[in-house]
Amino acid sequence: MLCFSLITNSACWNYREMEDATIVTAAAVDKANGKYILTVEMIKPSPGFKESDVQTVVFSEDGRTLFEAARKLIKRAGRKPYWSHNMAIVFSKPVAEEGIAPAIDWFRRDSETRSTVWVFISKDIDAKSIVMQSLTSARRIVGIELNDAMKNQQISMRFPKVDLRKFRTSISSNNISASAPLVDLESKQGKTDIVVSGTAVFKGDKLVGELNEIETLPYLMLEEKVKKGVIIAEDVGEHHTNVTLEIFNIKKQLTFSKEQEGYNLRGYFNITTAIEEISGLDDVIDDKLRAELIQKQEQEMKVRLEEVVKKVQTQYNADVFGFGRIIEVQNPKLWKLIGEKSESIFENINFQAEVKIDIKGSGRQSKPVKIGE
Amino acid sequence: MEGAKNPQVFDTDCYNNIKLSTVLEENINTIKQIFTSDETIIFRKFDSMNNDRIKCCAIYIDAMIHKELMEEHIIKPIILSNFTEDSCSDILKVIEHKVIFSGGINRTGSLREIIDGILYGNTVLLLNESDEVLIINTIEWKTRSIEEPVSENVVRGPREGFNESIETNISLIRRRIISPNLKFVFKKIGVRTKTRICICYINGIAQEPIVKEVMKRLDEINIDGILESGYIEELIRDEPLSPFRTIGSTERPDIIAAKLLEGRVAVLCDGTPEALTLPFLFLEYFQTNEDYYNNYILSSVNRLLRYIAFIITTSVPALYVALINFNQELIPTQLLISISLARQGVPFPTVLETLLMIVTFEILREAGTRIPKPIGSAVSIVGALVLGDAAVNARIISAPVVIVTALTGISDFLNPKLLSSFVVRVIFVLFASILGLYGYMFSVMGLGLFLMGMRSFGVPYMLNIGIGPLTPENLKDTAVRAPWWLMKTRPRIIAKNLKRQNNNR
Repeated sequence: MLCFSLITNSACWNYREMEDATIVTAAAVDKANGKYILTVEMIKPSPGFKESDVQTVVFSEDGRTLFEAARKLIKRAGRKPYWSHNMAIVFSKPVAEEGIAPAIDWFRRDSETRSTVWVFISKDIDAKSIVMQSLTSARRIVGIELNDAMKNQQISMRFPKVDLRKFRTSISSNNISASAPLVDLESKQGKTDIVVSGTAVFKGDKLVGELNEIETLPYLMLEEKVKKGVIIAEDVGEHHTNVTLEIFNIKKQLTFSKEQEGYNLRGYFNITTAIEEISGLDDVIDDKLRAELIQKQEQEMKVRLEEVVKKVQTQYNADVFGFGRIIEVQNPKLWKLIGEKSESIFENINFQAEVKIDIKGSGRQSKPVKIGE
Repeated sequence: MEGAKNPQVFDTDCYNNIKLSTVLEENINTIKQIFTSDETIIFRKFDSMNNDRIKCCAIYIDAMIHKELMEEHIIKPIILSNFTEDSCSDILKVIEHKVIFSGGINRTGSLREIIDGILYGNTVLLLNESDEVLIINTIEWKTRSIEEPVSENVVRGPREGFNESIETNISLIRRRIISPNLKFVFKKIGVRTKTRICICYINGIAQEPIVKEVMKRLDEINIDGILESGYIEELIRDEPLSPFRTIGSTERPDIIAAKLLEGRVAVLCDGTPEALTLPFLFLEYFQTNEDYYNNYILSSVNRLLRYIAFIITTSVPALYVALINFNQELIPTQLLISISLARQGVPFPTVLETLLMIVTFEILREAGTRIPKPIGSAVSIVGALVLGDAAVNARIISAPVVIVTALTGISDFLNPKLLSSFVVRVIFVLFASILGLYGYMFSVMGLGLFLMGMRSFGVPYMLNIGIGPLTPENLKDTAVRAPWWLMKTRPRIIAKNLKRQNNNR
């Protein structure tokens, strides 16, 4: 009796053969004529053993709801799509602009879809044209390409890393606004690449603006913990040398204070870097030039940080930096008072950055390339 | 004996009532009648040179006795000896004490003992005017020499192994434990085979209740023949239905000596090199004698590998079935894709496929064990090429299942004595195919409960109760093998006298 109820009531009777379902690797959501268009990339069920035998197929179907579209896909694909291993969902800009909440509901609610899937917003093109890229070459799997890009986000720092769980939490939360990476197609020499770069800024569940990849680094420095990244110092010394600094670690401290004239947020950043490349003849490791380089860079980072905050404050008024979180932690009483009106506060926060750069090393060379006389 | 009423089974008992006469010819005829149509029995008659009254007959079986010894030390002295008249009152006694050169002489008038003696390879000396005979030990059987056991190889350690002679085996044990406390108790089991069984233990280390229990169970055996110690094992073991052994067996005298020193009891059986040790605990499956001869770190690593191999060999097919059919979301995407592609076009469900391959592997293994060596290579070719490669290419089975089966099979060889893993494996797969990972966990729990509930001669099989708290003291020789200088006590639960060493290191 006990065994019987254990088996029947635990919903564990779910034997299914793997080849009866096709694995979804990427999905795109567009909207046309008031209907959602769901485009999915799936692994083609062709027999094979080697990695190179993996081929993909793309199907597209519309529906009043996404689930309807997903169910209609079965009649096209012939088999049931298996969503647990979906790696990326791309939403088109119009879907995001009119409010993305209805579009992500099914992905969060269904038991098979995962909340660890990466979220992307397609820039200026249909979301499905990103997924359609897998048709250009037999061996191309868009889902894996996008997944790889996300894995390397920590190194490039040109776009945020957002999965569905974080995205949805940010949308619902009132102390931070949501953001998502932008994805685009770029054609060069007859070959089209999928390029992830820049940040889409949301206010509530609506897309309100974008940050380009230059603005993304300071944004990421404020919003999350940045470990890697690159700063380029231009025009150092008399030979106008460009120096590339690789970021190793950033210690940040954000201090919120309420004063009579308004709200102040002071950000202190201690960036540990190393000289990674000296593309020029100046010996920047020399004390004088190095001091000049550091001072110039500290100033530049300060400006970049303050500018991006200003831009988001004035143009989008969306707290993608999570300033609300900082206030909530550092001054909970005030946060309680503010309550719903947090947006008006974000707009009025006076942000000031202070940047300190340490150069810890110079790679394996201590001098720039010398030219014989 | 209860069965004595049935002369069909207990054939020698019917001679109990026959008494020997004092006439030599009559006695010879009586014995000849018993051995009708058995032409291996030799009746050698001879007389004394100096005394015509003395007429003898030696009865023996050719090829079971030491011929030269018989001729030189029995026949020759009797023929040559000078018998004085007054000694004739008890000539048999004179012969026994003053004539024959032999270590083992037994004087008896029982026909049953005479028959048994002849059949066992002794020489029976009949004398006229006497209703008693001498049974003289002249046994010499052809036995295999002492070789390294094929089934238990070692890199380091003694190369001696038991052979089929119980005397040789006892001498091998004796040589290792020079102690008067090492006891050997003989029993004869098997109404027709009369196989000699020897119970061996060290007085003062082995627990008396265990020794008594062994004796009791052995006495209860009532069977016509014992040809191998496996008969005894099955007849006296606890948990007769369990696939796990509760009595160990080995062919190596050094292992027996080690077990005796830990307080275990050994049962030797004439005619087989496999000696039994008991009580047998689950963790003995994972211990080898080499563990104790090699460096303790190496031994501990090897022992852990054996535990892991047991888990792999029982669980991998079940986990594969559970993951593939129930919990696909737990598999990394890339792996899922390649398994999914490999499964395309395979006609059988994964469970059936897995079970088929498990059985196929067992078939191959069994074929390899019994097959004569010259044909052996054919098995591996058929097995590896036809069943492995061709079956995958023909899409009868999928490649991952072949890998799973191979892994399972290889891991199985780490614990060659653990034959029950096949049963466990199949049960695990069946459970996993019904309930997925959930079912697998159920079956593991079931196995755990089953093992925990077992006992071998009163000792808990998994050492789950009775050793007290799980202190390092109690775990020195379980999952790892502690260095010898740390193992100052014997295993707590089996031995009586716990102190093993007295050094202060």
